[in-house]
Amino acid sequence: MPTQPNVLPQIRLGRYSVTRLILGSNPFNGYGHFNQILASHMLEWFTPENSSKTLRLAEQNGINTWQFSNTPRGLKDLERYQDEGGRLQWLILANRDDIENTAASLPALARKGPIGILHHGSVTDDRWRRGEKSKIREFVARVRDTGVLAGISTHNPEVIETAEQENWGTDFYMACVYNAGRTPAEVEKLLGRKPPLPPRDLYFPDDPPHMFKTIRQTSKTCLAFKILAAGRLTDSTEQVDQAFQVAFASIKPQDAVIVGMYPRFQDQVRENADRVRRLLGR
Amino acid sequence: MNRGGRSDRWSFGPPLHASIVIPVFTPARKGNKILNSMFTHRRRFLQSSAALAAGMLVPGARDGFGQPEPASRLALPRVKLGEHSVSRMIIGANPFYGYSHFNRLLDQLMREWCTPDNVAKTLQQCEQNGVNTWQFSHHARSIADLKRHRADGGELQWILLSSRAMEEDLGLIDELAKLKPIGIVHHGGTTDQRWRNGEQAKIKEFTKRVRDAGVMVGISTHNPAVVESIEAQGWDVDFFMTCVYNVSRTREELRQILGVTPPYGEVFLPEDPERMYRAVRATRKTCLAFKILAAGRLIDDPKDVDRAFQFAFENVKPQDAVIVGMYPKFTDQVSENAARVRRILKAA
Repeated sequence: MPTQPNVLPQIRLGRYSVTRLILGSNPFNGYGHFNQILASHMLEWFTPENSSKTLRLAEQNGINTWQFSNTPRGLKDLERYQDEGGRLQWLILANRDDIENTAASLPALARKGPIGILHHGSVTDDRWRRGEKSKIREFVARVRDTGVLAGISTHNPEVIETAEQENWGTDFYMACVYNAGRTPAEVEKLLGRKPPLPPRDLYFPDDPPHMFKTIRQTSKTCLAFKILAAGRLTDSTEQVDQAFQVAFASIKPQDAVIVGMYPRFQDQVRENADRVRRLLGR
Repeated sequence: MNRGGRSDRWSFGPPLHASIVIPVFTPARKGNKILNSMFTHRRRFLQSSAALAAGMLVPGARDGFGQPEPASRLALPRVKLGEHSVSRMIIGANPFYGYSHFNRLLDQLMREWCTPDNVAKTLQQCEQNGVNTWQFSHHARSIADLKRHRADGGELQWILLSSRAMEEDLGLIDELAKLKPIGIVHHGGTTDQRWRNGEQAKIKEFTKRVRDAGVMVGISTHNPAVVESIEAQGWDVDFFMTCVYNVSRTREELRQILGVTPPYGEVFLPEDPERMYRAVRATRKTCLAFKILAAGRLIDDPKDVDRAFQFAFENVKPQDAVIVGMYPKFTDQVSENAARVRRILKAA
């Protein structure tokens, strides 16, 4: 990728140079992680035009990589943005269909030019729960066959620890710093009582230290995500500052963070890019 | 980051102070002029309503306002609250003023949509669906919305929850009582905080001032023990607003209950409603149960919404009602909830 003005500090990911702040895409897809009202607001605002604008803002502020899920919208937004001259690199989370039909889906995705294809975190955690480790490994191998970097996303540090011990062959990880993928039964087991409502999407402050420790223990690059607890740590500038600071102090120098942004009321893209520059001393 | 019951109180700007309350309500206090003006607006509203009923207008159909219900289906069951007849579902106001109980972003989104026009339409739709009472907190915007509702010919009764300004300057109670709310209620966040601090005398003083002003006296709380203590001590209170989830617990209290550092955000424990409903049933006074949908945490599946309403009406007394905040931007929540209440109470 050509050098951008004001580009943020970067790390190596395979042969690519990736900024330490990567733009996520949950808000683009209405994944608000609260309720349908928030989701509907996000979907309403993220028109193709606003998606393109947000991607351009990311580029203008020195971010050089976008991570998104393979949703019906994701690839269309990418195409539109690229047609407009956008040059962000991109990482794609394979969806459930892609994962079930790797023979057809992965070569097709790879031809579109991502720098990496990842096994989706929710599917990873489901398969882990069902003891289907071999399916995750097989997916990684199939991605590597396409010549694209292969990644595993997960909300559960144990997955990374096991993948490392058993050498599943992945190039990098996406690591959710909160184990937000626990089932209600798992939360009930953790607490020894019925979980708070709703019994999903619970962000326990004790989770990040565990995932950060796991991240530091692997020599592979990790992209830490949900560092703002899916919007729960965004009510003040100080809260956001602290979450970024803890993340960069807790991951390895070769790691990066992925942050979803929704620049409707504030210029979150510029604010977060400035924050990363300030924290990393550039 | 427990935003709690109280911390978001001023997110819609400062409350009215005595010096600015008076100008807002001067027309009402002068009487005839404003009543005449209201009459004109009332006529306009009735004309609009007729047009609506004839299907000529579909206000904000894209925004979830939907079609008005036929007149024959408008009634909602009611209870007596003092001399007033109150529908068993009361419209709340948290969404109107950006009290999302989630994060600042959702607060902003709610405030953006809840323009004076959209609040006016929502209140109008409540009247069309048989809701006859509105509960809101005291601040400049809510009073302006009430004024607009009246000017449009709206006749919703209203229940006022105190602002910090009212709690600190009891003289404001007298001013606000002149506007004829059916009740003035000591805010739940303050109640719980004062209770915790041993400042029950301050709550009592507030309620006495409301009584002296000739308005029904209410106390709101998130803590069932508060209702029980007040009843045991025989306070002079007419009714309670009872949050069915105890969201005013401190982080430390939650940590002790959960055994771990509590998750970020406001924590809604599933066993809380049963406990509050016990307190509701134990008092002979009317209770208005609120946050029955856990501040938006139980709305994604209509079955969850049904269950929450059903559970509420099964567990409150026949003389009690529920308060539900509504945000009809994407779905027609007012009609849906009114239909839900009719269905549940008909089957009971």
